[in-house]
Amino acid sequence: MRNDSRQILFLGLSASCISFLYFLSLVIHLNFVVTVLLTAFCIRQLYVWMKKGLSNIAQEKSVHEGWYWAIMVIGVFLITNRTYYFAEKHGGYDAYAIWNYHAEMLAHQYSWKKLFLYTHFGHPDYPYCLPAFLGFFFRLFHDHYTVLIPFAFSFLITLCTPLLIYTELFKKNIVIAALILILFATDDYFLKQGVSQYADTLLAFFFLCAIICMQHYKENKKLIVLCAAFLGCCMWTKNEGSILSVIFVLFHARTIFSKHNFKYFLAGIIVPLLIITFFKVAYAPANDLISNQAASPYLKLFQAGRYKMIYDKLVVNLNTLFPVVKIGLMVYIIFCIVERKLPNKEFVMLLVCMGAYFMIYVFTPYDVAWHLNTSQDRLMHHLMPAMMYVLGLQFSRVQFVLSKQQSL
Amino acid sequence: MKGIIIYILLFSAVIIAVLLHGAKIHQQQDDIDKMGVTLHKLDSILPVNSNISLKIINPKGDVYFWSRYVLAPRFVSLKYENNVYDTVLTIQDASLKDTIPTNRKLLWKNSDGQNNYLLTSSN
Repeated sequence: MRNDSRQILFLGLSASCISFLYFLSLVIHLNFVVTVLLTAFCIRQLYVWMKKGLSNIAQEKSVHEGWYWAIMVIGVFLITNRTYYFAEKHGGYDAYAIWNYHAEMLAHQYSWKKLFLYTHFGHPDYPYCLPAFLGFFFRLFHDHYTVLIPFAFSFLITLCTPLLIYTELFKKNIVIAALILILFATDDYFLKQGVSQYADTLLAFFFLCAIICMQHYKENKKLIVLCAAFLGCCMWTKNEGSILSVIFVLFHARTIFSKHNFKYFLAGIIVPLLIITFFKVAYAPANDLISNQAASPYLKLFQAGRYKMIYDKLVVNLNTLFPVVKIGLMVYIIFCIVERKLPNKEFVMLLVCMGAYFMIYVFTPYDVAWHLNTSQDRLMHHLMPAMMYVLGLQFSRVQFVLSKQQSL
Repeated sequence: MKGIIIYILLFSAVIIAVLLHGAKIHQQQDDIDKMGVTLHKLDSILPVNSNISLKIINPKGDVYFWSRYVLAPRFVSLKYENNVYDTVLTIQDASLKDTIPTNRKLLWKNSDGQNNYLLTSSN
């Protein structure tokens, strides 16, 4: 793992650390100055822990260091120059209706519990990773810059996501790493979604971080702690994050629950899990998708029309919003058939995540067409960076295959 | 961790993006801003910890979400019947005639050109 990857992981973890601590400070009515000092102390401790704890990881440095920075600067320039153009002043619909609104409420000690009074259109069951982080900074700046802070954070996450994939893939294959970075930097949908100020890109980023940490756990067991913490962050960001985390744990159960690794996993997940459980039990009402279910939701399993609508919308989204992922998927499947091997475990996991997401639409109490139109693309967006990383890892082997053939 | 270059790169990019975005939105005034300019005049009347009801009559735009966003951290409920909260903010199409029930007192009134805003309480 490159040092730069660890810095990006540290940034992600720091953001969630701020969010968790600020939420707890609201719960126990902690003075804001004390909260700020405590947060600064915890982030410093996290930095020291990551610096010392992960110091034995082999420093991956390439002979192409000049190219590494040159391509990265081009990627950052492209993303910076293009992204602000897509951003709306108050974010997208869900930004001012949910995420930024929750942040405004959480910025005030005496009003944040009023969120739970909403019975309609409030979504008080949505986790607080993004709103609490924004609320912390709204309060820090005395309710100034409430338009710029959400944009700055969403832009940072939009930037960190492709950069993390790039730093991870560069040593394996310079061409694939550069290609993926440029594809992200020129993907209008990704950039637009990134600065919509929704929590979807943040969830996609945390899930990607968890997968990357698990890829490297053999270098240092403490990366399992980070992986578990990122799964906790996924759950704290959106309710869908819990689905992703459960599937992730199931797919890596042998590693996670092994005698030597479980204590590391527990160390990483325990604090986020306790806070999320406390939030869900003590404050959050039932999710609208569950509470609005009819008496026999299982009958929906046998309604073929629902599956057709979901599939049709999936095809439309793949063709219009995720054409690169579609081509990558097809090439990889052909790759597997030609090589007569099973697909990579992470790849199968992402397909299972997608399948689990689609079951939400099978059981939805709302009009299926409306629900698909308003959210399916965003659910696919959750998995898109992880899918690009996994495909990038697989295609990085092309270099190896070619050099092997040349030697023959 | 010698990662100073990546931090410089990331934070330079964020600062530039924020400046570009700030310059872009500086002169922009969308419907939320129009409502914000009007409803911020209520700040002296409505304490930030107050709860109000919202009554919407033929409004222009998605006024429920805009108004609660603009009025945050005040709690804005869509329930206005049975005096759930005594103070009621009515938002209605500016072309309609103002509707104030006889048993209520008008506390404040304003308009942003597309909607009229009336704050009332019981007598």
